[in-house]
Parts: sequence; structure tokens; C-alpha cells
Amino acid sequence: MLLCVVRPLPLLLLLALLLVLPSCADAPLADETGQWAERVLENPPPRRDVLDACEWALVQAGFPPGDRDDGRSTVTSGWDILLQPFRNKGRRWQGLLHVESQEDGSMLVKARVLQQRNLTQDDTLDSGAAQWEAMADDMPRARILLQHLLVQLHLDES
Amino acid sequence: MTPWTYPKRDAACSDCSRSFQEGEEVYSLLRFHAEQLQRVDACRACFDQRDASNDVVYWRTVHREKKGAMRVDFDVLLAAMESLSQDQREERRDLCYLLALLLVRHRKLRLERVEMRGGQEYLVLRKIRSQNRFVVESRELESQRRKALTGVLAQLLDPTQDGDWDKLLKLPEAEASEPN
Repeated sequence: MLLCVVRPLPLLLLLALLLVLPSCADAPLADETGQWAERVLENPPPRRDVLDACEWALVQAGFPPGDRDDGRSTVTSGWDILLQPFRNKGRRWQGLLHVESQEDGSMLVKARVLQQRNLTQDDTLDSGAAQWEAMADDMPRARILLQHLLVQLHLDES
Repeated sequence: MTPWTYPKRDAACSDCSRSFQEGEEVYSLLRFHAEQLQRVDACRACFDQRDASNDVVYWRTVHREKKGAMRVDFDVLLAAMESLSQDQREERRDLCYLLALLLVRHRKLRLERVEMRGGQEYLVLRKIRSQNRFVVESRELESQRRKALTGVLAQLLDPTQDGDWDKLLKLPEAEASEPN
């Protein structure tokens, strides 16, 4: 006979988790630093649709597919890699789009493009051997990424 | 998204009301009239006598009695955007920005970079397979304004909504002042 013993501690943990999860929708990013291009959307579409648009925008902007975190309202692309034969010239970029609901009903959309360079001294054209070092964010590309998002959002009703 | 096709052309000249003959050259144009964007289909004589100061773009076609809906001619939209980009009036700049986004979405233009000039963003766009570049101001469009403009574009290009040119480019003050 199988005895089911319900312990109170796991139940309390589960209850606490359920209470915390809804508030994650507007949770801040783990890393708020860096350079962000921002735009406020009045009367925005539902958050799910905006995140769909974020995924499309990243692809249209030339980034490979990545991850979507509905809990943090963030879409992160894969790394767009450009290897170069010369040392320290190889680059890779990763796009981030983040959505925040505002108290007045509007929505803040933010775009950021991380940039890294390849420090490896040998095999500069081998992505497996690359040693990546963070550089300053690519703000010009972040502005382009944000415009690609607006392409998706501004023409939705048409 | 609604298919962007042109409305069926009227069978008669917009100015003199004369019916077009089979195979006759017809001049279609987009122009601003009392702050409204309107489409006009005119015969050669009326087209030559028109006031061209409010023209945005025009094109020439041949009238055929039986013809299906035309597909979108993105070159016409591109010409309209180029023309509007020279205009400094607010509603023209808004419409120009939306046209630029539409052409980027359909991959007729490539968004090369976004430049900051005096605190204002400008899109630098390049026509695909061409070296032609266009600079269009990035506009902050209010929700109602954007809906009105996309409505104007849809009416211009949607064959199912022909004949209603009452949609103003510029929102009436009462409507514009309503809270969102």
C-alpha cells in the first residue's frame, strides 16, 4: 500500500512560487546596464503580440533565432558571428528586446545589442576556438533593431 | 495584414466624367486636396490641365474593360515616399514614415542605419539591388494618428474600400484631443 505523506514545507514553497510568478511579468532585467534604445507605445497591443513582434523583428534585423522569456518579457537572439582572419577583428552581436508595461497603460519597448570581440591569437576563423571579450554595446544597431520592431507594430492594423 | 492592392480604377475621368475607351491611356495620380490624400484617374486632356502643385506621384496605365485587381506596385509607393520625404508638413512626414516602414517590411528597402541629427532620428534606407538611398525622419506617432494614417493607406490600396476619401490625414481637433 502506497502511503502518501504530504509535507507542509514543499506545499508552502509551491504556494509562494505561485504568488511570485505573476509579478514576474514586469520583472526588471537581471542586467539593466548597457545602452538601450527605447520607445513608448500608447495603446499597445497585448503583451503576447508584442513579444511575437519582437521575435520577428530580431529575425528581420539579421539576428539568428534565440530565446523568448515570457516571464521577463524579454526576447534574446542568438549570436550573430562575424569571424575575421585578423586578430581582435572578429565580432559577434546579440540582440535583446525587452517590454515593460507602464502605469498609464502605455508600454515601454527597449532594444539593446551586445557586442563582443574575438581575442584568440590562433585559429581566428574557428568559432569553436574563439575567446570572446565584451565590448561597448552597439547602439547604432540597437536603433535599427528598434525600428524593425516598429515596422511590425505600426503596420499591424493595416 | 490586408493585401496591399490598388483599388479598381474608375471607368470614367474624375474631372470631365467622360468614359474611358478600351486601350485609352489613363493617368492616375495621388494628390493632396484640402489636406486629404485622394486618388484621381484622368484622361490625357484633363491631366495636362491639372494643377500639379499638390501632386504626390502619378503613373500611366491603359484602360482595359476586363482586368483583375492589380498587385501592389512598390515602385509607385517608393516614388510617393521619396516625394513626401521632401515635404516638411507634419502629416506628410508622418505618412512618409509609415510608407518607409511598409517598404522595409516588404523588403523593398533596406534599413542601413539610424542617424541622430539634432536630437532627431532619421532612417537611412537603401533600395534593394540599387545604390539609391533615402533619408526619412523617424516620427513619434500617436496611436490615433497612426490608425488614421494606416486607414488612409488601406483605403488607397484596398479594392474592397473604394470611393471613400473622407478620411482626413489630419485628425479633427475634437477627435485628436480625446484621451487615449
